[in-house]
Amino acid sequence: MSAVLQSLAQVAPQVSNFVSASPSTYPVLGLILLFPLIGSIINGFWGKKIGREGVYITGIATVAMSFVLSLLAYATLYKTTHAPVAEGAAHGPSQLSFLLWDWFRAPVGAGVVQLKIRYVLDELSGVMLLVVTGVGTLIHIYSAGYMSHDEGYARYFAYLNLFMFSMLNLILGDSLVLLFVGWEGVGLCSYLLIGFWYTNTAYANAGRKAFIVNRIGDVGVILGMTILAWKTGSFEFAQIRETLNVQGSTALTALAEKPEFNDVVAYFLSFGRTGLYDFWMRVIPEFTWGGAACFFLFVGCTGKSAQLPLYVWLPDAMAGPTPVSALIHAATMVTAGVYLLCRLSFVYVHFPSVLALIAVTGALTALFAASIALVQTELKKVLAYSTVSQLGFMFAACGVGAFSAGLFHVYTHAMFKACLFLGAGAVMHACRDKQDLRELGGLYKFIPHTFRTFLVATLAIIGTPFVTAGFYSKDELLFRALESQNSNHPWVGKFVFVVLVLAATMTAFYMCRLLFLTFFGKFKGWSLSKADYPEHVEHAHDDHGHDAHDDHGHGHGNPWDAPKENPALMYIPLYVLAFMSVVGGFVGLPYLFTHKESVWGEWLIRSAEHAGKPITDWAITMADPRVHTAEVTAMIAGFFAFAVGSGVAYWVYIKADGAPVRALASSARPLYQLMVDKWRVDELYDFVIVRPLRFASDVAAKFIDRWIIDGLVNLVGMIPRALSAVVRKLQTGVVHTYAAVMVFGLVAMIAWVEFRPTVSLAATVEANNRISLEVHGGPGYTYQWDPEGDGTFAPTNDEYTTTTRQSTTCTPQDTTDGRRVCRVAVRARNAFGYTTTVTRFIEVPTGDREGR
Amino acid sequence: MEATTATASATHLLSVLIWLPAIAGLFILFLPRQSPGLLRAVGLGVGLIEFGKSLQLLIGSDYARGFRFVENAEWIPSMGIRYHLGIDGLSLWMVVLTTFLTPLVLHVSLGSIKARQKEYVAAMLILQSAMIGAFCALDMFLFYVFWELMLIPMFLIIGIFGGANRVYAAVKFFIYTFAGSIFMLIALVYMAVQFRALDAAHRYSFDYFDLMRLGFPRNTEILLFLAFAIAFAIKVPMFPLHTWLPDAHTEAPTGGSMILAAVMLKLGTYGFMRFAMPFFPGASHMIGPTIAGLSCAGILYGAGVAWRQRDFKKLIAYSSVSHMGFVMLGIISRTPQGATGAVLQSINHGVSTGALFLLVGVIYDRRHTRELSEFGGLAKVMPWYAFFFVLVTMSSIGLPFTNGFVGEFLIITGTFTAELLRIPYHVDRASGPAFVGLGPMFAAFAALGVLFGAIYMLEAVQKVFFGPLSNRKNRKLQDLNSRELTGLIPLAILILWIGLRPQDITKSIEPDVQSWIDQYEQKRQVVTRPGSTAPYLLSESDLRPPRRRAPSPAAH
Repeated sequence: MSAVLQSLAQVAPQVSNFVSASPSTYPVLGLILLFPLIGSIINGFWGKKIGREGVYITGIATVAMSFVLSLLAYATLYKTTHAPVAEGAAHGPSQLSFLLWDWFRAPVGAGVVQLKIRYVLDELSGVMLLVVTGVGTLIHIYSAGYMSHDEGYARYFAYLNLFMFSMLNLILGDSLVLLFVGWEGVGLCSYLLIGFWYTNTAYANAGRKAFIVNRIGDVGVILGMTILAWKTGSFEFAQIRETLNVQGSTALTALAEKPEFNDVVAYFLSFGRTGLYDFWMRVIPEFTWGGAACFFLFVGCTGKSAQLPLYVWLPDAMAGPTPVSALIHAATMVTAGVYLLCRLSFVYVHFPSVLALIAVTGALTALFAASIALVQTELKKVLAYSTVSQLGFMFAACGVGAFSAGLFHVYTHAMFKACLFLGAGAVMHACRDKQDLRELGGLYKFIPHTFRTFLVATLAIIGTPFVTAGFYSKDELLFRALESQNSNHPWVGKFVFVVLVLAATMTAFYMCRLLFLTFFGKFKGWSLSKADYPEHVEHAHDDHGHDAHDDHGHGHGNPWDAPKENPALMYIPLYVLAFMSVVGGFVGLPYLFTHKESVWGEWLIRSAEHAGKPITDWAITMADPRVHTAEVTAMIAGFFAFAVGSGVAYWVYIKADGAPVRALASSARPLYQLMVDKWRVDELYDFVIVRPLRFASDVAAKFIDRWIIDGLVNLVGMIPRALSAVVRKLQTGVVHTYAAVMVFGLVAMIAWVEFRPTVSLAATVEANNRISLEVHGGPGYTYQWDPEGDGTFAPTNDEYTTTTRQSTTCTPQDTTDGRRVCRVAVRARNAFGYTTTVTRFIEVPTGDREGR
Repeated sequence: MEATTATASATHLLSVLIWLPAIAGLFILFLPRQSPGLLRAVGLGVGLIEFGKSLQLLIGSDYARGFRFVENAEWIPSMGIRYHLGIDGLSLWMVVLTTFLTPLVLHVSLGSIKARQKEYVAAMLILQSAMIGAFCALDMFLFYVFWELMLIPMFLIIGIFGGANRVYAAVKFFIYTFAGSIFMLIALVYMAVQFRALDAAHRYSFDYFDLMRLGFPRNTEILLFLAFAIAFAIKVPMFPLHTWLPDAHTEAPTGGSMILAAVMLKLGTYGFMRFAMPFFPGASHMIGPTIAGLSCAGILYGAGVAWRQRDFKKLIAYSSVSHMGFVMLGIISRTPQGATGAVLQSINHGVSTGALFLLVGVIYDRRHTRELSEFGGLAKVMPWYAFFFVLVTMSSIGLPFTNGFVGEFLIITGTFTAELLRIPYHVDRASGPAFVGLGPMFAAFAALGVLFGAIYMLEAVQKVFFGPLSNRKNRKLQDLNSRELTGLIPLAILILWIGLRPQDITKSIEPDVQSWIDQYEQKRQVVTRPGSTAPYLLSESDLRPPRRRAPSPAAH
């Protein structure tokens, strides 16, 4: 791999020189994003016009271009980061970036930062970039075959290209907010693609469920990033990292601050009692702002990456076309949560309790989902739960601080799970959308290409020792779990290790079961009626069973035809992915074998290095013999999981033809039923959350709003009506009359103001009883003055002056209460000839102040 | 606020913007009813000229501060009433939004309104005048006149062109909003009288800058603030004063709903921002947490009620309650970004809710029903319609890279860090009162609103567009016609434009929002001095906030 990279790095500069000025302006990143967007626009708006081939070419070519450019960018990055450091600089540029424009200014605490639409490529995003565009290209190619009978092909490719665009935003965005753009964007595309066959209400429901469950997580992301930016002063990853890595970082101190008693959340959680506050502080070890930020972001990750408790959308998401399941719901989008954790690993390492929570959640999800996958009867459902389970492995890895191992599993999983899903799609395509395991079987002779690749991918996911990618990535994360030292919760590593081994055993079992039931044994075909199913279990609540899949027809032919192999367009990607499922793992060969850092580890070491606080300090402990012991232990455990799981599956499904399962199902029926019903979690959520919420909203809409709030309004409205029995005659109910009256009223009001002369007389008292008067009238006003207040106005008769100011010396009169006042008057006439007289009594200072 | 320092341009642009539509509206009343083409041409022509003219307001508005295009003349001097106009960052985009939407609304809605087009066009144009006038007025009496003047054309639009229950809705709309503004009028008169009593020259004044100088004892201030707040809160509408809105929206014709939601509601939030809060900073600071609480309640309550509606327009009306809760929250947070977000969200809500009403009007024109259950599977027969609807929905639920996101995000983050939203409590009497900052809690509720928005909007989308095309009446529905398309495309472009380049807009909002907050804080510091038992007059230097560096494009 590194040799390939180096040779690419030789070529890259020549190609990229003309587009790249410097690492800080690397427009190729913009192009990588632009191509899928263009594809989406063309296919979306002109899809019908350019025809089927046009759509395929546009869709595939744009993504393929992105992939090629990604390779170029990656090689350039490799070259840039490995270039000799310029003199005087501490280190060379570690990333390529491309600024599009300033986006908006967002608050961070008291300050404000400029958010930018800027894309950044570093080691971490580079790996994801290659996985996403690479697998994306293959799946686009495959889709051209898969969707060849569907009339919505243009829409499909438009959505898929839009997905690529969003996913690239997520990966390349330089700030949390830009990541969030992609984060929600992929959610939108997922929604659109799950409900792709929207005429089926169940599918549309599944799409909506996915979007809404994801949004629950998104609320967490919004709050998490708000807190993080508030305390670190930035939304940008690089800046946050820099602020945290400074020795004695103030941002770190700010993150480690515990909310004061009077911070609202703590205050309300403590019901205003300091005692309860102290209790919380004791039981929640990381009740800090940073811990809260990490926790909320993790909530977002559980939504996007389908972890407990928000995993429920992913199994339903299988309603979408199968390539979508492969691309979005297995290889790329669902790993976004892991990506976010890795991206922010430099924050997370400071909060071991949150990491412990992540590790435990991941491990339990792995086990829980695997237990459901054991008994599912639909091909895609098994794979869906398998995906949830494998994502749990990745989260567990991140939780024990082995972020690079988590990402390694993201990468290998993308290869073999995409291969499995596409294989499942190929099976369905060949078998007229049949995907019930009880109806399949013996397919290896009908669809040999699919079978071979599916076999390889299965071997990879169950961790077949030494040759498959799955083995190496699983081994890596098991070993790191065992080796990890969580400073707050030392038991976490061991716990995760045990649970993951158990989950891996289950994985081996259910994947072999899947393989055997689909490809081995006898082809049961489509002639069986429901009652003939060997493992028949009634599950009435399953809201979109296999019957629902028949309204998007492809593969129609003679009903008795044997399944036929799919076109090359579909199986070539399978081979590529199967190939990668094997050799892809060799970039991460364990230290035990090679006695040096693996290519993967070396490459990602920069992302794993968290100045100040590495949680598993493996760069140092590598030489420690204890680590070798752990690695050997992990390998043995991994082998054990593989051997037991697949061995039992072989015995049950090949040797005994499923009899043990039937026996178990009848003897432990409630447990078996519960597992088939996916532990009835959907029903639980429905009962605990959805129904109460709907009930409350119903009460609000149908009772509170109508009868209480609006009722009060109408009641208030009725009071004057009741009083106005007399006036009622005037209420003709004719709107025109009302309107006319109102217009008339308004006009009359204005007219009254305009015609009636209104003036104000301002007076300022100066020394010696001198008074300055000023009258404020309006245009066209004229006046007669009586400054002495003796009743004689000047000028006399009908003559008026335009003088608005007068000053006079008055002779004050004493009032009964001891004040001294002067009487002044002015008569004003407006332009219409109406007059009015204003008289004012002006108080002057009493005698002893006179003459001052 | 800084009227004197502002670049007082000598043009009468604002007057032109205000009076041109009104004059044209009156003129149209004399045109022959028999030539609808002429009516439409005049109406649209005036609307477009108006829009073109209003774009002049944007020239040089980036990073500008203070009132611009000020016109100040005497109107009724004896009562201190002036013809005082001016705009700043708070009102600039509201005016542009009004001039942008009015021709668009006229263009689209004249497709469905066939009878009495003359009155409709005239009412729309007069309404436009009144709205622009209200946004530009810097004299409280002038503002009040425009404020009430708005009601009449809207009353006619609902009452004449509305649905079956239009009279009830129109009367309710009128009385409800009118009743609220009575309180404001009383408060205004009281303030003008107080000003006269305190003023050296002994004159009445309704002038914004004069009344701004009034300080009141705490109890009086609270009463006055409440009087203003009631008028504005009804207009917003804030929970629980919102019930006129669903009725008005349901009965109003498409164009009326669009204008009502897109512009008129903004006058409520604008009123809070421009008048109620700066006039009474002490009271609004005290009541701030309550208002924020009501806003959050409105966000969640509106969303919950919207979710359970069967009538499409009611659903959108309640979603407006929810969205306007966001705007109010951003304003009351009194953080620069929160308030900027609130102004931006006002524009966003105008664009996306306007678009939603337009879209509902499209199917109403075809099927004469808005019952969600009547539809289903429309994506099959009306793909373009579905496309626009989903795009607008995404904007409404705040998907990033659409306009809704930026506003909501700014409001949530701004509220989170709002230091002014706090309530006192006592832990220790000796050390005096301590405060609980409520910002994070309100932000969390608002963030939940983002989730709820997705729930009700997506359910509505699904009910209308997805599922089988089971209703036979929907099988032959026409997709968007060219009239509807030309109405929707500008809105769609705006949705994406603001989402991608919000700074084009916020850079002319932010500086004035900043000075609004500085001004507010300054006055709050001054008026919270204890000991006053009677109203008093502050000097201009009392109100001048400490100097602050003007933000420039370079100062990121």
